[in-house]
Amino acid sequence: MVLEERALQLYTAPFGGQSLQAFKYGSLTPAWAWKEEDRASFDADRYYDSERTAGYTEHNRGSQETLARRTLQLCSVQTESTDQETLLAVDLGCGSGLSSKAGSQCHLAVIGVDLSSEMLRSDEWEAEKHLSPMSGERLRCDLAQPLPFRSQVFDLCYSVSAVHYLATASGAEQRIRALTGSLRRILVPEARPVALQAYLTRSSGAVEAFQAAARKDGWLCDLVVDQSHGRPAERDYLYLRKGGTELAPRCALYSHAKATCALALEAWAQRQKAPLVRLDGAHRAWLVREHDRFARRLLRLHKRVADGASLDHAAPPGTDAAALAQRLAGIEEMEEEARLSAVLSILHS
Amino acid sequence: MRLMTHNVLQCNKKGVQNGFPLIIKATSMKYEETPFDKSFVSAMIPKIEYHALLKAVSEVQQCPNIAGMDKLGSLPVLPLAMPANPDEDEDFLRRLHTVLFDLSMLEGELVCPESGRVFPVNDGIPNMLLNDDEV
Repeated sequence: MVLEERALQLYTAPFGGQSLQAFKYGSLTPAWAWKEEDRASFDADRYYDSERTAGYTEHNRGSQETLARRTLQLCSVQTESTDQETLLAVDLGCGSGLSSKAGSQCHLAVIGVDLSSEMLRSDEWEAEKHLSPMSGERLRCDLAQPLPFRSQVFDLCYSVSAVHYLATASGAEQRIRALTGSLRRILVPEARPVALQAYLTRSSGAVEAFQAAARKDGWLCDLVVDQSHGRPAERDYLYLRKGGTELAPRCALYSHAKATCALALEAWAQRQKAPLVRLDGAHRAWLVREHDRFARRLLRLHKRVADGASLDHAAPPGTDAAALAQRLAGIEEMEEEARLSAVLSILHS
Repeated sequence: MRLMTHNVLQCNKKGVQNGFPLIIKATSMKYEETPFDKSFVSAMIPKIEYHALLKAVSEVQQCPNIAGMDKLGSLPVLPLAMPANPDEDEDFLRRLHTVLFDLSMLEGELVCPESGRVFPVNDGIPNMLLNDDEV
């Protein structure tokens, strides 16, 4: 349903971007979006008392583990097989350890860092004690301060649901630059790409602030949108790679966020001979199906307009979407596997 | 905090040029055996500052209370220099594994060798948070 809305959105208002959202929700803000004023007064250490810590852990267990695996996959870590080589990793904003645990399960040596003492003392850390010789390692520090590590030691850096707190109303740029500066310093030159899953308010300029800060430190920073299996909510990931100037192609499914997707990034990394994205098979298959559904919907809308039917909305079709639909119409008769591959290349062009 | 973690920790307070290695002043530690994993410990070798690890072991020996030490007997003795081919020296790798992963600092302080800044360790968790005027 959500994808169908998005196809309609792309088709009817590709440049305004707001009309369908406003139409569907009125002025309602989606439930997951934080307000800027919440963030500005957020202090993880004051907020997470022991009860909130336990509640957070229980509420987020399944989704955090999924998000952590997806994040690690973007960092080129194999989450499905057991032959992943051991790498030294830092988990930024490790909280009660759910994301660090996901790293330990992939044979990584993980050190978690977090600002919240209660999160660092969560009972959850005990449960993961024996996953690897380093599991459960953690310390307290602030991501917006120089990270307390030697230079060039970590192979990998990842973060699940944390770095959006750096992008608060004032001083965001300074905090973000502190983090990108730390990353540049503590990672080895041949480090894996950095992946930071975060809840970014897209209109707040947080993505642009990360990109600008990262660029100054010699990183390429892209926004990757992914969806968890069977869940409608989009999840944003900042993907940082050393060197290179060319971003991955945008994905038509996430044109409203000007983002790429995990599939487009996977193909791009392969072409660039960059560390591969290690999507798990089930998720890749699901993503391909979602792209196909999106393409079919776009094509149906296109045909209805061509037949003279009016859509639910008065907005005229955008030229971009019409062009996409025309190209999709051209591959309708292809054999299934070739067609799916053509669908992906059209939606990622 | 395991000694592997200690080996990558550094004081990055404003103005400090050489905040490594942090001096270990432990009042309470524990020994807890973890399964030996050759590839895991081998992967850590390029990360280690070996002289700092030797210094850390000598500081750990000053700790009055290491729970579980009866199971270990005595701390493994590491050679003064890293062996030429450490990956092929299983005896060395086992000692290194014990030192890096099986000894944890529970309570005490980490002290910056240059500035003397003290970072407390409680419940095994170092507090590396700096004050605003130290950044």
